[in-house]
Amino acid sequence: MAEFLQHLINGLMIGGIYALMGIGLTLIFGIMNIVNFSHGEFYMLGAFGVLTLFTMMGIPYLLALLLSAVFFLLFGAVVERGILRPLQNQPVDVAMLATIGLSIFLSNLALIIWDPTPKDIGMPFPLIGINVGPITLTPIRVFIFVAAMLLILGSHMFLRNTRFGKAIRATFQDREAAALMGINTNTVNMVTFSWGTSIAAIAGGLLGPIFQVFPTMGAIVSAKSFAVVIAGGLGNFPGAILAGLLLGVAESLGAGYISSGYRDAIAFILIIVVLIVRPTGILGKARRLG
Amino acid sequence: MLKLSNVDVFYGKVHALKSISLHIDEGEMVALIGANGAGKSTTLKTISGMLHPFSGEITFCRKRIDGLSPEKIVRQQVVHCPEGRRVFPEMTVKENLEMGAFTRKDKADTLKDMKIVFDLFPILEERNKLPAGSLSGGEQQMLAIGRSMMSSPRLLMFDEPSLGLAPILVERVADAIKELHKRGTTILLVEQNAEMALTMTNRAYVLETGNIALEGQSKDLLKNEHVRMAYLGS
Repeated sequence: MAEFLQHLINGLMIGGIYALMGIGLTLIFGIMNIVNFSHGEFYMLGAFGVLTLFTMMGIPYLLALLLSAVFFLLFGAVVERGILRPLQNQPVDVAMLATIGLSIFLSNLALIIWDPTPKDIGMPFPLIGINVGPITLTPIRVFIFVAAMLLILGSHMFLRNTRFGKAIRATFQDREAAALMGINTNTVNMVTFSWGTSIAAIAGGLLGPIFQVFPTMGAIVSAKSFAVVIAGGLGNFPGAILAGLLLGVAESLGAGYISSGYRDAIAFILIIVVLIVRPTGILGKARRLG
Repeated sequence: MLKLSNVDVFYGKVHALKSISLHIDEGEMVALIGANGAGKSTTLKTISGMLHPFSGEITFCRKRIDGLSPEKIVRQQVVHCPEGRRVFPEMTVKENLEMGAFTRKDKADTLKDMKIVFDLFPILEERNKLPAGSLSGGEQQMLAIGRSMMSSPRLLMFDEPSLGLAPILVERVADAIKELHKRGTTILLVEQNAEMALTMTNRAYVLETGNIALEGQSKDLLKNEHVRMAYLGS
């Protein structure tokens, strides 16, 4: 039982990060109709951002995370304005190809700047175990989970309660009608993309201290983010959160009880199962009626 | 107030509007009728900035508005209530109305307008916390009208507000539009239901394959033989 709980807790922590990756990707897809293949590279760059600021320059971890988040907010806006907006009247696969190109460019850029050897960010929090009943928590893992949940909650509140958040939802549901309300849908695109980029970078910066950081680390994360988005239902925000948490737990239990060699396969098994059983996603229903 | 001069619009390669000219004076209620595909919706979309004319000019209160984006045109208080209601299905009735007021900063006046909408359509107040997608077709049309009212329109353009509604609801919608006109909003009404449009309005244009085929007083057009044959079925 104790072992099971431990796997569950570890799974929820990783799952929180998957959920974070998933909500950004799903919202970018829902709003802009773009399948963003560079999402994993934003994650990778976020980890390198923290490596540079925290490990190499000695800036406190939280501040490094914040600075990197702000930088990638701007970075996302530049990518949207410079690459994606000029392509918005092209067929959807053109923008998709552009994001594939961007992901190749970014991972190679990282290769040039930081070289291919995996690096350790180092532990920003004391390495102690806190025993809660039968399970052991470490401060970094608690921090990762709490931060992921707060970001998800914050994003949800932003979409739910603010004027601009509502404009994003309106654009998501009916782009033309939103424009007729006086909503600048280009601004909505830019904010969505820039927010999704930043949140992926934060995810990288959060998980960085636990794993090693290297230029190609984004690829598998991209693939898993897609798994989360598809399993949750394309464009489905709560679906992505649930699928992300579920994937984390499934991976952790699978690695613990079956074989850790299968850890990365579980995401794809999850997509296959969901596509067979519920092709519209776990919380799926047909979107965009009318 | 609104003036289109020799406006040409292309939909891809299709010449959808062929040098059309029309005008609406402040306080008027004008109908634009025509068959399916005649260019009625295209005309509205061009005025509201969703389409841009290839040539010609559109002015509102003597200012050029062709070429502006939809969100800039809404800010001039030229509001387009689109065909097929197009409410935001997963947002509540109240949120839909708030979206209508997206461009407005005057909180107090906005609240006052929401009250006017609720007075006109009490059902919307009753359901204000429900998602718009759960409303019936007629209620969604009322919401779409209410949402346009929230943009504080000086010119309000309706695209087929009677489409797909039961006769009794068509009447409710017509009454609501008349009420808005009475309160001082200038109205451009696009309808396939020519009889409804011509009995409601003072003046009308008849659009046929991208040309203005006829224009005149609505009561004269109701008696016009061509109009009777083509649009009134008698």
